[in-house]
Amino acid sequence: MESPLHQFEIHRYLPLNIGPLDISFTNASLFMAIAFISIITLLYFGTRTMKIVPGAAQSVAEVIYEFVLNLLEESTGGKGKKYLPFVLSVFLFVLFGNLLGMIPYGFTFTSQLILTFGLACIVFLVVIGVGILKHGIKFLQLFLPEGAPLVMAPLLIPIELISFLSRPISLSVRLFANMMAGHTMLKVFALFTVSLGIYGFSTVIVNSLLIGFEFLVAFLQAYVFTVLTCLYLNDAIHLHS
Amino acid sequence: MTNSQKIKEKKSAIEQKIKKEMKAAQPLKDLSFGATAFRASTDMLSCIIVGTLLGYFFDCHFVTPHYGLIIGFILGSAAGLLNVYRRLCRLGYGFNRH
Repeated sequence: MESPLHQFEIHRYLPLNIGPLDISFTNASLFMAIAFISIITLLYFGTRTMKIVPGAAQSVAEVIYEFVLNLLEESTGGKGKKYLPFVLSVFLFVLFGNLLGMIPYGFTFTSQLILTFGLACIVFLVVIGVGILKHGIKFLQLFLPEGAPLVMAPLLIPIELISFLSRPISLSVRLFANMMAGHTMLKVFALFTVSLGIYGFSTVIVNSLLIGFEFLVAFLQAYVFTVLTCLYLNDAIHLHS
Repeated sequence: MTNSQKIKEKKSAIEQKIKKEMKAAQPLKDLSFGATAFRASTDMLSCIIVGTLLGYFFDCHFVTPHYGLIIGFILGSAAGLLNVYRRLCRLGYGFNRH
Protein backbone atom coordinates (compact mmCIF):
# COMPACT_ATOMS: atom_id res chain seq x y z
CA MET A 1 0.00 0.00 0.00
CA GLU A 2 1.27 3.46 -0.88
CA SER A 3 2.46 5.84 1.79
CA PRO A 4 0.17 8.86 2.44
CA LEU A 5 3.20 11.05 1.73
CA HIS A 6 3.79 9.50 -1.69
CA GLN A 7 1.53 12.15 -3.26
CA PHE A 8 4.06 14.89 -2.41
CA GLU A 9 7.01 13.26 -4.18
CA ILE A 10 8.58 15.17 -7.04
CA HIS A 11 9.02 13.22 -10.28
CA ARG A 12 11.25 14.42 -13.11
CA TYR A 13 9.45 14.33 -16.46
CA LEU A 14 12.14 16.11 -18.44
CA PRO A 15 15.61 16.05 -16.82
CA LEU A 16 17.47 19.28 -17.57
CA ASN A 17 20.64 20.71 -16.01
CA ILE A 18 22.47 23.97 -16.56
CA GLY A 19 25.84 23.42 -14.87
CA PRO A 20 25.12 22.53 -11.25
CA LEU A 21 21.60 23.98 -11.52
CA ASP A 22 18.79 21.43 -11.86
CA ILE A 23 15.94 22.99 -13.86
CA SER A 24 14.15 19.72 -14.74
CA PHE A 25 10.52 19.81 -15.75
CA THR A 26 8.75 18.01 -12.91
CA ASN A 27 5.19 17.18 -11.89
CA ALA A 28 5.20 20.42 -9.85
CA SER A 29 6.22 22.38 -12.98
CA LEU A 30 3.49 20.65 -14.98
CA PHE A 31 0.77 21.56 -12.49
CA MET A 32 2.07 25.12 -12.19
CA ALA A 33 1.81 25.37 -15.99
CA ILE A 34 -1.72 23.91 -15.85
CA ALA A 35 -2.66 26.45 -13.15
CA PHE A 36 -1.24 29.28 -15.26
CA ILE A 37 -3.07 28.14 -18.41
CA SER A 38 -6.32 27.66 -16.45
CA ILE A 39 -6.13 31.18 -15.00
CA ILE A 40 -5.39 32.74 -18.39
CA THR A 41 -8.21 30.72 -20.01
CA LEU A 42 -10.73 31.66 -17.31
CA LEU A 43 -9.89 35.36 -17.46
CA TYR A 44 -9.73 35.38 -21.29
CA PHE A 45 -13.16 33.79 -21.72
CA GLY A 46 -14.50 35.80 -18.78
CA THR A 47 -13.53 39.15 -20.24
CA ARG A 48 -13.63 38.44 -24.00
CA THR A 49 -17.19 39.64 -24.58
CA MET A 50 -18.39 41.72 -21.68
CA LYS A 51 -22.19 41.62 -21.34
CA ILE A 52 -24.57 43.44 -19.00
CA VAL A 53 -26.07 40.09 -18.05
CA PRO A 54 -22.91 38.04 -17.54
CA GLY A 55 -22.41 34.45 -18.61
CA ALA A 56 -20.83 31.76 -16.41
CA ALA A 57 -17.18 32.61 -17.14
CA GLN A 58 -17.77 36.37 -16.86
CA SER A 59 -19.57 35.88 -13.53
CA VAL A 60 -16.69 33.87 -12.06
CA ALA A 61 -14.10 36.37 -13.33
CA GLU A 62 -16.12 39.32 -11.96
CA VAL A 63 -16.70 37.68 -8.57
CA ILE A 64 -12.99 36.92 -8.16
CA TYR A 65 -11.98 40.41 -9.31
CA GLU A 66 -14.43 42.18 -6.99
CA PHE A 67 -13.56 39.91 -4.07
CA VAL A 68 -9.84 40.72 -4.30
CA LEU A 69 -10.50 44.41 -5.00
CA ASN A 70 -12.71 44.71 -1.89
CA LEU A 71 -10.11 42.89 0.17
CA LEU A 72 -7.40 45.26 -1.02
CA GLU A 73 -9.54 48.38 -0.47
CA GLU A 74 -10.52 47.30 3.04
CA SER A 75 -6.91 46.63 4.01
CA THR A 76 -5.04 49.43 2.27
CA GLY A 77 -7.66 52.05 1.41
CA GLY A 78 -7.72 53.76 -1.98
CA LYS A 79 -3.93 54.00 -2.21
CA GLY A 80 -3.48 50.25 -2.55
CA LYS A 81 -5.68 49.90 -5.65
CA LYS A 82 -2.77 50.07 -8.10
CA TYR A 83 -1.30 46.87 -6.63
CA LEU A 84 -4.42 44.90 -7.61
CA PRO A 85 -2.74 43.03 -10.55
CA PHE A 86 -0.07 41.70 -8.21
CA VAL A 87 -2.45 40.71 -5.41
CA LEU A 88 -4.94 39.17 -7.86
CA SER A 89 -2.15 37.11 -9.48
CA VAL A 90 -0.98 35.83 -6.09
CA PHE A 91 -4.55 34.95 -5.05
CA LEU A 92 -5.36 33.11 -8.29
CA PHE A 93 -2.06 31.23 -8.36
CA VAL A 94 -2.45 29.98 -4.77
CA LEU A 95 -6.16 29.21 -5.24
CA PHE A 96 -5.62 27.21 -8.43
CA GLY A 97 -2.62 25.46 -6.88
CA ASN A 98 -4.76 24.39 -3.93
CA LEU A 99 -7.73 23.36 -6.07
CA LEU A 100 -5.74 21.41 -8.68
CA GLY A 101 -4.59 19.13 -5.86
CA MET A 102 -8.22 18.17 -5.23
CA ILE A 103 -8.52 16.53 -8.66
CA PRO A 104 -7.74 12.79 -8.50
CA TYR A 105 -4.13 12.13 -9.57
CA GLY A 106 -3.52 15.85 -9.27
CA PHE A 107 -0.52 17.39 -7.56
CA THR A 108 -0.75 20.16 -4.96
CA PHE A 109 2.26 22.33 -5.69
CA THR A 110 1.38 24.58 -2.74
CA SER A 111 2.27 21.65 -0.46
CA GLN A 112 5.94 22.19 -1.37
CA LEU A 113 7.67 24.42 1.19
CA ILE A 114 10.23 25.74 -1.30
CA LEU A 115 7.46 26.98 -3.59
CA THR A 116 5.42 28.67 -0.86
CA PHE A 117 8.62 30.17 0.54
CA GLY A 118 9.54 31.51 -2.91
CA LEU A 119 6.07 32.99 -3.27
CA ALA A 120 6.26 34.56 0.20
CA CYS A 121 9.71 35.98 -0.64
CA ILE A 122 8.30 37.61 -3.79
CA VAL A 123 5.55 39.22 -1.67
CA PHE A 124 8.15 40.30 0.90
CA LEU A 125 10.42 41.87 -1.75
CA VAL A 126 7.50 43.66 -3.40
CA VAL A 127 6.45 45.08 -0.01
CA ILE A 128 10.00 46.33 0.65
CA GLY A 129 10.18 47.79 -2.87
CA VAL A 130 6.85 49.59 -2.46
CA GLY A 131 7.91 50.90 0.95
CA ILE A 132 11.24 52.24 -0.29
CA LEU A 133 9.74 53.76 -3.45
CA LYS A 134 6.98 55.45 -1.46
CA HIS A 135 8.89 56.65 1.61
CA GLY A 136 12.57 56.39 0.72
CA ILE A 137 14.80 56.15 3.77
CA LYS A 138 11.79 56.93 6.02
CA PHE A 139 10.63 53.35 5.38
CA LEU A 140 13.05 52.37 8.16
CA GLN A 141 10.67 54.10 10.61
CA LEU A 142 8.66 50.88 10.36
CA PHE A 143 11.18 49.31 12.71
CA LEU A 144 10.53 51.78 15.53
CA PRO A 145 6.93 51.72 16.84
CA GLU A 146 5.23 55.11 16.80
CA GLY A 147 5.56 57.01 20.07
CA ALA A 148 8.26 54.73 21.47
CA PRO A 149 10.96 56.57 23.46
CA LEU A 150 14.31 56.85 21.66
CA VAL A 151 16.09 55.22 24.63
CA MET A 152 14.26 51.97 23.84
CA ALA A 153 15.37 52.01 20.18
CA PRO A 154 18.40 49.66 20.62
CA LEU A 155 16.07 47.01 22.01
CA LEU A 156 12.97 47.67 19.90
CA ILE A 157 14.66 47.91 16.49
CA PRO A 158 16.16 44.35 16.57
CA ILE A 159 12.84 42.95 17.83
CA GLU A 160 10.88 44.71 15.08
CA LEU A 161 13.49 43.69 12.50
CA ILE A 162 13.21 40.01 13.50
CA SER A 163 9.43 40.32 13.47
CA PHE A 164 9.61 41.80 9.94
CA LEU A 165 12.04 39.15 8.65
CA SER A 166 9.89 36.34 10.04
CA ARG A 167 6.97 37.32 7.77
CA PRO A 168 7.95 35.22 4.72
CA ILE A 169 8.59 32.20 6.94
CA SER A 170 5.26 32.35 8.78
CA LEU A 171 3.42 33.12 5.51
CA SER A 172 4.95 30.15 3.68
CA VAL A 173 4.87 27.64 6.54
CA ARG A 174 1.18 28.35 7.17
CA LEU A 175 0.14 27.60 3.57
CA PHE A 176 2.45 24.61 3.21
CA ALA A 177 1.46 23.03 6.55
CA ASN A 178 -2.27 23.43 5.94
CA MET A 179 -2.16 21.93 2.46
CA MET A 180 0.18 19.10 3.38
CA ALA A 181 -1.71 18.16 6.56
CA GLY A 182 -5.09 18.25 4.81
CA HIS A 183 -4.02 16.08 1.89
CA THR A 184 -2.21 13.61 4.14
CA MET A 185 -5.32 13.26 6.30
CA LEU A 186 -7.44 12.65 3.18
CA LYS A 187 -5.07 9.92 2.01
CA VAL A 188 -4.93 8.27 5.44
CA PHE A 189 -8.74 8.02 5.59
CA ALA A 190 -8.84 6.77 1.99
CA LEU A 191 -6.37 4.04 2.95
CA PHE A 192 -8.63 3.08 5.89
CA THR A 193 -11.45 2.57 3.38
CA VAL A 194 -9.28 0.22 1.32
CA SER A 195 -7.92 -1.75 4.26
CA LEU A 196 -11.34 -2.17 5.96
CA GLY A 197 -12.71 -3.90 2.87
CA ILE A 198 -16.50 -4.38 3.07
CA TYR A 199 -16.69 -2.30 6.27
CA GLY A 200 -15.01 0.60 4.52
CA PHE A 201 -18.37 2.34 3.98
CA SER A 202 -18.13 4.03 7.38
CA THR A 203 -14.89 5.77 6.42
CA VAL A 204 -16.31 6.74 3.00
CA ILE A 205 -18.74 9.06 4.84
CA VAL A 206 -15.90 10.62 6.84
CA ASN A 207 -13.82 10.93 3.69
CA SER A 208 -16.63 12.69 1.82
CA LEU A 209 -16.91 15.20 4.65
CA LEU A 210 -13.14 15.66 4.67
CA ILE A 211 -13.11 16.36 0.92
CA GLY A 212 -15.67 19.12 1.46
CA PHE A 213 -13.59 20.46 4.34
CA GLU A 214 -10.45 20.35 2.17
CA PHE A 215 -12.15 22.46 -0.51
CA LEU A 216 -12.96 24.99 2.21
CA VAL A 217 -9.33 24.93 3.38
CA ALA A 218 -8.14 25.45 -0.23
CA PHE A 219 -10.23 28.65 -0.50
CA LEU A 220 -9.45 29.77 3.05
CA GLN A 221 -5.69 29.43 2.67
CA ALA A 222 -5.69 31.38 -0.60
CA TYR A 223 -7.77 34.02 1.21
CA VAL A 224 -5.43 34.13 4.24
CA PHE A 225 -2.34 34.41 2.00
CA THR A 226 -3.98 37.30 0.12
CA VAL A 227 -5.19 39.07 3.27
CA LEU A 228 -1.70 38.96 4.75
CA THR A 229 -0.22 40.22 1.48
CA CYS A 230 -2.67 43.14 1.63
CA LEU A 231 -1.81 43.85 5.28
CA TYR A 232 1.93 43.86 4.55
CA LEU A 233 1.30 46.18 1.60
CA ASN A 234 -0.71 48.43 3.91
CA ASP A 235 2.24 48.57 6.32
CA ALA A 236 4.52 49.60 3.46
CA ILE A 237 2.08 52.23 2.14
CA HIS A 238 0.98 53.81 5.41
CA LEU A 239 3.92 52.90 7.72
CA HIS A 240 2.42 53.47 11.19
CA SER A 241 -1.30 53.06 10.51
CA MET B 1 -17.56 77.05 20.61
CA THR B 2 -17.10 76.37 24.32
CA ASN B 3 -14.53 73.99 25.73
CA SER B 4 -17.14 71.41 26.77
CA GLN B 5 -18.57 71.38 23.23
CA LYS B 6 -15.10 70.86 21.81
CA ILE B 7 -14.50 67.96 24.19
CA LYS B 8 -17.88 66.43 23.30
CA GLU B 9 -17.09 66.64 19.60
CA LYS B 10 -13.68 65.09 20.13
CA LYS B 11 -15.25 62.33 22.23
CA SER B 12 -17.82 61.47 19.56
CA ALA B 13 -15.10 61.45 16.89
CA ILE B 14 -13.02 59.04 18.98
CA GLU B 15 -16.06 56.84 19.65
CA GLN B 16 -16.80 56.67 15.92
CA LYS B 17 -13.18 55.76 15.22
CA ILE B 18 -13.31 52.96 17.83
CA LYS B 19 -16.57 51.65 16.33
CA LYS B 20 -15.00 51.64 12.86
CA GLU B 21 -11.90 49.84 14.12
CA MET B 22 -14.01 47.25 15.95
CA LYS B 23 -16.13 46.70 12.85
CA ALA B 24 -12.99 46.18 10.78
CA ALA B 25 -11.73 43.62 13.28
CA GLN B 26 -15.06 41.77 13.35
CA PRO B 27 -14.41 39.17 10.59
CA LEU B 28 -11.22 38.08 12.31
CA LYS B 29 -13.18 37.34 15.49
CA ASP B 30 -15.04 34.63 13.64
CA LEU B 31 -11.90 32.55 13.32
CA SER B 32 -12.02 29.36 15.34
CA PHE B 33 -9.83 28.92 18.38
CA GLY B 34 -7.75 26.29 16.55
CA ALA B 35 -7.09 28.58 13.57
CA THR B 36 -6.10 31.45 15.87
CA ALA B 37 -3.79 29.19 17.87
CA PHE B 38 -2.19 27.82 14.69
CA ARG B 39 -1.59 31.27 13.27
CA ALA B 40 -0.19 32.54 16.57
CA SER B 41 2.11 29.52 16.88
CA THR B 42 3.50 29.89 13.34
CA ASP B 43 4.17 33.58 14.07
CA MET B 44 5.94 32.71 17.31
CA LEU B 45 7.99 29.87 15.79
CA SER B 46 9.07 31.80 12.71
CA CYS B 47 10.28 34.71 14.87
CA ILE B 48 12.32 32.34 17.06
CA ILE B 49 13.81 30.64 13.96
CA VAL B 50 14.76 33.97 12.36
CA GLY B 51 16.20 35.39 15.62
CA THR B 52 18.24 32.26 16.32
CA LEU B 53 19.52 32.04 12.73
CA LEU B 54 20.53 35.71 12.73
CA GLY B 55 22.37 35.15 16.02
CA TYR B 56 24.06 32.05 14.60
CA PHE B 57 25.23 33.92 11.48
CA PHE B 58 26.48 36.74 13.71
CA ASP B 59 28.52 34.19 15.71
CA CYS B 60 29.91 32.60 12.55
CA HIS B 61 30.85 35.97 11.05
CA PHE B 62 32.40 37.59 14.12
CA VAL B 63 33.63 34.31 15.70
CA THR B 64 31.90 35.04 19.02
CA PRO B 65 31.32 32.07 21.37
CA HIS B 66 27.52 31.64 21.06
CA TYR B 67 26.61 35.08 22.44
CA GLY B 68 24.85 35.91 19.18
CA LEU B 69 22.91 32.67 19.27
CA ILE B 70 21.67 33.28 22.83
CA ILE B 71 20.83 36.94 22.27
CA GLY B 72 19.21 36.09 18.92
CA PHE B 73 17.06 33.43 20.56
CA ILE B 74 15.95 35.84 23.31
CA LEU B 75 15.19 38.65 20.85
CA GLY B 76 13.39 36.17 18.55
CA SER B 77 11.24 34.98 21.46
CA ALA B 78 10.47 38.59 22.40
CA ALA B 79 9.52 39.36 18.77
CA GLY B 80 7.35 36.23 18.67
CA LEU B 81 5.53 37.20 21.86
CA LEU B 82 5.02 40.72 20.52
CA ASN B 83 3.53 39.30 17.31
CA VAL B 84 1.21 36.98 19.21
CA TYR B 85 0.13 39.85 21.49
CA ARG B 86 -0.56 42.10 18.48
CA ARG B 87 -2.56 39.37 16.76
CA LEU B 88 -4.66 38.74 19.88
CA CYS B 89 -5.23 42.50 20.33
CA ARG B 90 -6.50 42.61 16.73
CA LEU B 91 -8.91 39.83 17.62
CA GLY B 92 -10.16 41.74 20.66
CA TYR B 93 -8.36 39.71 23.34
CA GLY B 94 -6.03 42.53 24.43
CA PHE B 95 -5.85 44.11 27.86
CA ASN B 96 -8.59 46.65 28.53
CA ARG B 97 -6.73 49.85 29.28
CA HIS B 98 -9.79 51.99 30.08
